[in-house]
Amino acid sequence: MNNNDKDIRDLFQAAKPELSSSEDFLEKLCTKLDEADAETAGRYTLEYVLEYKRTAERRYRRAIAAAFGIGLVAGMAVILSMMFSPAPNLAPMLESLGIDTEGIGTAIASGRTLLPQIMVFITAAIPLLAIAAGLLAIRNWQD
Amino acid sequence: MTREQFINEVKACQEPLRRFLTTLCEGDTAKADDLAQDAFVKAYTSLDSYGGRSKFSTWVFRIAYNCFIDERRRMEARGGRGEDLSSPAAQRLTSSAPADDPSARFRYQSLYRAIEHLNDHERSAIILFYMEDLPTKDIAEILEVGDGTVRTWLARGREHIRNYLRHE
Repeated sequence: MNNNDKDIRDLFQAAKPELSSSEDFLEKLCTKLDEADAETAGRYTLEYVLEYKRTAERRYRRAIAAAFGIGLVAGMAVILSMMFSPAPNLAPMLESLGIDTEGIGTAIASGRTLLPQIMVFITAAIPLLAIAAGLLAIRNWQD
Repeated sequence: MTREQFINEVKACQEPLRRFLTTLCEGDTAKADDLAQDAFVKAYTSLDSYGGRSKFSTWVFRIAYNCFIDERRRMEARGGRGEDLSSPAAQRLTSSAPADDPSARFRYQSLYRAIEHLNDHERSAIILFYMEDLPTKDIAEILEVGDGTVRTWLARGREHIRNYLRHE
């Protein structure tokens, strides 16, 4: 360091600006650090809640997809089994109830009339409705 | 690092940091203290990124310098640097400089006017080197440049100050 450099250094050392109270500065800083801590804690809580919500939504979508798949397969199976199974013979039941089956009873017995077909679809609709109700129940449970 | 350790580190380096910022802010102690507070809060909230490779004070000085640069850019974007060279900044600084002797005050005023003529890099390097006695290696880390660049800025800044003081 030459003399000229030393002069500049001495000048800078002597010209150091005076500062306000260090205690006040540190006190104010501690308040800000408290605020930063609270903000960080709040952010963590928010992130935790959002993550929980995201996980629940993922689980919900998986449950819906699984229920839909099972419902589709089960529904198809029920419909196919109903369609390929022989029509029920309702004549004995109707006769036991004292209903005259002379007209439609013959047709029912042959399994080629409208009523047995309708009954097949009604029977198929019952499990499908049950599956739909199950889906709605799962959805409500997830919410 | 725990909060208590952090506060202890802050206690050790807050005065040089505030002095550095006050000189950079041309004597505006309120603004300098706000920047110092911001820098310490930023350091505190990003303690995880402090790997301990450099000194804590060097790391905080770097954050503070970046806060100052950001603030300067914001002010420029708002339309102007705030104060030009004919501003009472030098007077403000000398009024806070510890001098009982009026001629010393005048000398400091000249010095601060000379500092005002430097660009931000040269000014920072000069203040850190001459006022805070930091080695060029630490200054290079704070200003995020190479050691050679700091030496160049110091030489250029020193030359400007000498010329200014010679012609005052």
